[in-house]
Amino acid sequence: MHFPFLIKIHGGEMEKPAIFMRKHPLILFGQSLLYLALLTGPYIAYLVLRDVAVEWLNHPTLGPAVLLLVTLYDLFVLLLFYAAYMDWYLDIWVVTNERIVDVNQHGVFGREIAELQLSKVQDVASEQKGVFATIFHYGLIRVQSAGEKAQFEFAGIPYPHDIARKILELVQADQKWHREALAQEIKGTQ
Amino acid sequence: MLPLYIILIPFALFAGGVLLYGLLTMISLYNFGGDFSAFLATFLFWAGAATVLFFAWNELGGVDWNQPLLNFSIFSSASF
Repeated sequence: MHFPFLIKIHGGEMEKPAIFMRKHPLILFGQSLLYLALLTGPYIAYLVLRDVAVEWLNHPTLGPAVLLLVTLYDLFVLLLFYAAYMDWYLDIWVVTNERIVDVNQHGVFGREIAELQLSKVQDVASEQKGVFATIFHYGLIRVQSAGEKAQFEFAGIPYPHDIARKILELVQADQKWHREALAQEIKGTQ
Repeated sequence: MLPLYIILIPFALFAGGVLLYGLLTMISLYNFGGDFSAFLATFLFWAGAATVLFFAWNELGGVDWNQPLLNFSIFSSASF
């Protein structure tokens, strides 16, 4: 995956992605099961209401109309599945050595990118709640900031406690760099 | 009297719209760097769409599309 939103930081070098996250694949799997159930709906209806269905399908004009309607329904459900996959795939969090970048995909034509400087991070919390979340190790990460957007949240992240710890380490390293840079600047002006 | 093939027009429009949206989704997906899972999802969508359309075409092969859409002949010999 390439990251077109990376920028040049202190010293003219490009910022480096340290953590790259997407929602746990189980989230997509659950949605896929739903779409699979929707896809089989007309066929289950045919089995349950067999007599009525056979009468309709044998009708010279109603039969083709029903078949075309079922075909459209199946195509629409397939499209919903593909759109759900795209939404899962393109919703990402990237933590670099300078920022946290939250990329949110909205449909085909909408993409929202929010960022938070590591130097403005005040608090990082992680949460793992529920049976599936505990068994499959996914949960929520919440980052409190001093910036315009007060809170960043990313749900369904794999191993949220480990990720929260890594973010804190990056925050500490970035804040240490800024303190040392400031000290050098002050020393230089004296 | 409207022939039966008239119902193919809205079907073609909606099906075309679905396929176009699928194509735009695929372009958007690969613009940001798709991997194997993206390829698999794309394959499932297009293979699924092709299968559904193939079965529909197979089932509707023997239909007389020139017959009237609404058959009012049952009213023509009514007497009171």
